[in-house]
Amino acid sequence: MSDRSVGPSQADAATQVDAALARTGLPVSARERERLIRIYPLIAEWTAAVRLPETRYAEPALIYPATFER
Amino acid sequence: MPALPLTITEAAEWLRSGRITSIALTEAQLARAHATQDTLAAFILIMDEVALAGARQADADFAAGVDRGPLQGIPIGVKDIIATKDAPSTANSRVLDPAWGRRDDATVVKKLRAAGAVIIGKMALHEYALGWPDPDTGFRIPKNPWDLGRTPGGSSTGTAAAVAGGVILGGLGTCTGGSIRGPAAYSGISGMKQTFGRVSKEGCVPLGYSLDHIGPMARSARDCAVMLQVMAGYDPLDLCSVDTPVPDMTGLMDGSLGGVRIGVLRDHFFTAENLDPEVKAAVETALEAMAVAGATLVDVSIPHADIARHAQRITMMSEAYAYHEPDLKAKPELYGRYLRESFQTGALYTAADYIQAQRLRPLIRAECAAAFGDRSAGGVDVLVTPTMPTTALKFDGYNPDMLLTPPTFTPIWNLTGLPAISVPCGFSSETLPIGMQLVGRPFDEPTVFKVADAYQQITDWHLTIPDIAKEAQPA
Repeated sequence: MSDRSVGPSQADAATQVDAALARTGLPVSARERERLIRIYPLIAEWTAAVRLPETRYAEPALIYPATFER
Repeated sequence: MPALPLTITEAAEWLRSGRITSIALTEAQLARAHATQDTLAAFILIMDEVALAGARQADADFAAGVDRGPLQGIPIGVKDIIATKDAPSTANSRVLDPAWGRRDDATVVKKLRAAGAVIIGKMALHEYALGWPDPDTGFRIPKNPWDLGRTPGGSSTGTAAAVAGGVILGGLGTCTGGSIRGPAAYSGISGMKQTFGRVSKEGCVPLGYSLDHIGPMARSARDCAVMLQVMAGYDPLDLCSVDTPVPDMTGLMDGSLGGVRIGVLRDHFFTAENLDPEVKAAVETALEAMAVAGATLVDVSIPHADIARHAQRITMMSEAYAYHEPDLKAKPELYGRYLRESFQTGALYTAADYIQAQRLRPLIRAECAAAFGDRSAGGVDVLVTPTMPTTALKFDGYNPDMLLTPPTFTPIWNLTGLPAISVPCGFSSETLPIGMQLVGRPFDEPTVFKVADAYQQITDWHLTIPDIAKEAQPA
């Protein structure tokens, strides 16, 4: 992690993880929940890193072929 | 044990000269497969009867003057996440519905059989092609033939271990972020992930829909090219398949590096703090050797290379989570611990996170295009990086989360879809193989193969085999 000081706090991480688990309904054990909270700051860093100013108006690399052939 | 050929190319010559028959070759490889299964554990299923039937047919074809090409009569392995009509497919998991495997061959397997290849078995892998060998699954854990205390690399573990161990001459791997090139580097063999869309992935259990590839693994780049020639081609059954002509994969191989321009990605790929100095030195030495042989080295860069791996991981985990969500909710206990924990992280990404990662892909692709440049104006033919930052990891003391942070050099080419091969380029002081990665322009696999083959003409790293394989080789 390049700068942990700007990442979410442990309490924030727990809140975010619990919200995601509630939203998805994914069953996890207490140990697994703790792991998710532990690595959540990494995930927050990665998701922040892909939000570049250069891609502000970029199209996503998704393909919508206008065909009935396949 | 009879003398055995070391490569597909050599075996093809032997079969046509009468030095060996496919049945003799297949019987010898099957014996080797059984003899090493307790140590290498490369197979999930050894398909004796199917293989022998295939070999008999290949010999009958030879006798009748029918030659289907260089794979006829060659024993190969299929990673057990790719469907075969005559064997179940497990994905090395207790989760996969057995009914999924009761289907016809995957497109790529059909092509290989039509070319006369002999399917010798289903090869082991990391569960669902992700994570780390997991004893919870009940499946055996493949070992690295160079050091049985280390992984052969994943996720195409079995194919890598078997090729390196002299058990098969070639096989299929799959790759979403480095699962062909990583094992190739760790095991001292060659492995190619061609351009996305070049090979159909129909009949393969998905990991990341927009990142997955099925590719060849073998000792040499030439063998990979021979396999890819058969595997490539448009398939309407794969939404991602690209309808473009298949070139002659060996057509540019002339053994020469004269006039070849190699872009060296110094930034990030040679400066990462986790890059093992021995790995760096081996790749630098390989570059020097290619320069001495006539290649021109040019330093180039991809400014957002480090962020590319984040976009790849967000994409892979989001797509994997979408596929696995029902099973993660209904029967999580059937997953191995490491994979279950990996997939659970997919729940933490939002749709916006996923789309942002997709918006990054065109930017990275444009930066790659700039790094290659215009060929007619001093651009380069291939890019070179180390394949992996380290040599093969030990089983003991492994913590799967420790690999989340440090830079990696393979996922960016899945994100961009560019063709990339790993070839052996040396050994560490612990006699562990080191791999060099060569990357090409879109759909320009022949140039990648040309450069890799020319390098293998001036070195013999790819023909250096571990002790465990030597007893099966010619004196």
